Amino acid sequence: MKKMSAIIIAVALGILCLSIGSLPKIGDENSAPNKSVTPYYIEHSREDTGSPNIVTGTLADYRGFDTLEETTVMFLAGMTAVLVIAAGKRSKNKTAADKEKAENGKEDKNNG
Amino acid sequence: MGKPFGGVVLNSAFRVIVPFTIVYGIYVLTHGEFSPGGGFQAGALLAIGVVLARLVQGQDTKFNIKGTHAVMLAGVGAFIYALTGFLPMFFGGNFLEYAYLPVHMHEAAEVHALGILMIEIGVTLTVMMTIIDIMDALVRESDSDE
Repeated sequence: MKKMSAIIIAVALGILCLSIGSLPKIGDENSAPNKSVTPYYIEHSREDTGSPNIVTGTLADYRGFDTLEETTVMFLAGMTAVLVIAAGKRSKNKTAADKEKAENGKEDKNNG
Repeated sequence: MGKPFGGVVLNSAFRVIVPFTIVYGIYVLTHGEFSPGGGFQAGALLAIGVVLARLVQGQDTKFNIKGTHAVMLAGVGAFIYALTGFLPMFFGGNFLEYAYLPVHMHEAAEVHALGILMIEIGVTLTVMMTIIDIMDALVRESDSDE
């Protein structure tokens, strides 16, 4: 099962790499987004979003859903970091306690 | 971090720096529509104030947000964003369609600006509290080492 999923991922990645060549070049003025949405955003951002800053207008208004996910990812990443650190701390304490226990047991044996 | 590492110099320097950082952070937040900036940068700037206070003055500094509160407030920030998205849906709009926010302004664009400000506040709160949260967790771990 693991081998199968690895093969599927490798094949999908290979197809993705092959398709890179057909993507438009960065800054190509004849590419589809640069012909349709980009001029619209530049021309209408001010009256559509009420923000003179095109970057903020695009980020928070035209692409608001994307920014919502971005914020959620930030939140989840922070929570994960906190949980991982807390788990590491707990296991460290546990191993320390186990060591202590083992040492105490040894001492008891020696005493006995 | 049980013990603060601030001496006289750090202690007096951070008292000067922190208010300016906070004011600048709020400026970046509220002015994000007009100049470069926005929620993410403002959150980082505001978090710096609390992080500096915690590092210089230790755990029981007056200017502090506890880790448990930070976790809660980070969720509240993401909730404010989602609420701004859902609010227009109750008034006949789509998700995150600011024009349908239940506010009356002279121009439709101003309602959009208000919606942008609301989501920026949510983003700021989430970023700020997440940074404080991670720092708090790291500091707590170093406490257990001692």
